[in-house]
Amino acid sequence: MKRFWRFMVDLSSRREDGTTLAVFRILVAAIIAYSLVSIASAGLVEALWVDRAYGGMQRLYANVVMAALGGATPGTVWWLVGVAAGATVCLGLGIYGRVSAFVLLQSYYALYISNGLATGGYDMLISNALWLLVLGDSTATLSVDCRRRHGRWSSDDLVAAWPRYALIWQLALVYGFTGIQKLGGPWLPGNGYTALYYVMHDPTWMRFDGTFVASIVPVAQFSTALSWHWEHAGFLLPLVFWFRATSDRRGRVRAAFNRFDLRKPWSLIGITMHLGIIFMLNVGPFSLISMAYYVALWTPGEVRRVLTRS
Amino acid sequence: MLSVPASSAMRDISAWRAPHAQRDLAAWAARANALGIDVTQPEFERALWDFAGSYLETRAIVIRPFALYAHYSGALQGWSMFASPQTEPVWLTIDVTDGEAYRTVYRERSAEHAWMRRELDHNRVRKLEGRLGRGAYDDHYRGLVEWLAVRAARDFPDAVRLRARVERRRTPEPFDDAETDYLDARWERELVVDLGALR
Repeated sequence: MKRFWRFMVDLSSRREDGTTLAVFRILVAAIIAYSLVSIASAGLVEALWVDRAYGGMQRLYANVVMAALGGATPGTVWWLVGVAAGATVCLGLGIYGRVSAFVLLQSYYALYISNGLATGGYDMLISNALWLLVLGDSTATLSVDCRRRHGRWSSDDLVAAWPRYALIWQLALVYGFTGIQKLGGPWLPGNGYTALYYVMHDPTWMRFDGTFVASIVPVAQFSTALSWHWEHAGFLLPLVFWFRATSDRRGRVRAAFNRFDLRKPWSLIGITMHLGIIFMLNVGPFSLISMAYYVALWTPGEVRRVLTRS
Repeated sequence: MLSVPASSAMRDISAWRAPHAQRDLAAWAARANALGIDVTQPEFERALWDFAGSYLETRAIVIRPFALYAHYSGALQGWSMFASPQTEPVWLTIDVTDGEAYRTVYRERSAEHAWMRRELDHNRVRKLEGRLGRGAYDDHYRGLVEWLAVRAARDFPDAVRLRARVERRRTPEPFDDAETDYLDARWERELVVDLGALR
């Protein structure tokens, strides 16, 4: 126990430059902007987030913020949308990072949690991202805050590394737990891996008429098998990082894991799968916010190298 | 701790009665039989229902210290996604009538019947439409239909009634060359709203 505690203290004391967290911040802000604009442009702000008593579609739940502001009336909801939009711009530009992340988290959360039938995993991923951006210093570089402090857009200021580790942990939980809950018959190996065949026939998700899927059943089966096993492998993600961090130690499993940079094939499969989802299914910004988390798999040095090259 | 799976559907009898859930339960009961466990589907279902209740109660006790933190911070967890694909999905269909025959003005994913499509095709509204085939959601369904009725009263001045229904169809089995289109169509959940009262 003592050893574990010492390990956790060591892990949470590590520092690194803030490039990865800054890029993550910018991506999250862009995805929230997309989410808000898509709702507003579909004319759904009041339909989804105003209570039925005031012209909305459903009876809604008011969390502590919504209740304190007087409940889900059109005035309150539009005010919250305005605040969220302003905070999104500030977060993206890196203006008062922690404050903008907190304001955005509370306004966006108050809106989406009010209507449980109009939300999804993507909103939870977004609010988790925002909470980590409240706790971490995401404006140390690539931000207006950085420009104000140093007179330039980037800096080597060190920030706590644990928010990035927490993002990796979150990825492992999302994929691992979604994988083990896929117990419906069509997901299972014994049933021919036909889940995505059925998902693509469901009007809730389909982008195209589902009947064409009958001509690509093997592709749907392969995609089902790949995503099902790959999601289960999400639980191994922390192990990949643990073995990388302790590569000087001995052990056959460690050596096998460290033989290749497993982050690359894992990310490649994930990105391919999410691009497939974006093309075939309408699941809102789920794939976008999931892929934004992938940035955390790379160290600030690696992200900086990519940014410099491009 | 919060990400340990839980879903309200685990103790929602209407969700258990949905066709895809019944199909999954039958398959799991058959697997138990194949392993030598002598259990019928109703017995298996009863045991699973009881287990789900105990599991959710235990989980609620374990997560209690963390739940408040998640509630205020927004750091929610819960990753049940596409856990059990719908094998008999439903299509929401909206008709209006001027007193004679009904005519369809909206049908999910139809380019021909596309009234309110911008709103109803949005992924956040699709979630509700999809749930109409998975459980009761009677109050939510009524909320949706009444909200649509207010718009129909404005958009179709001659219409006197709006009718909402869902058509349930069975997805053909994969590799069934004889049947590649949906099967066994049947109408469910009919709701009629008088539009005159809304003008």
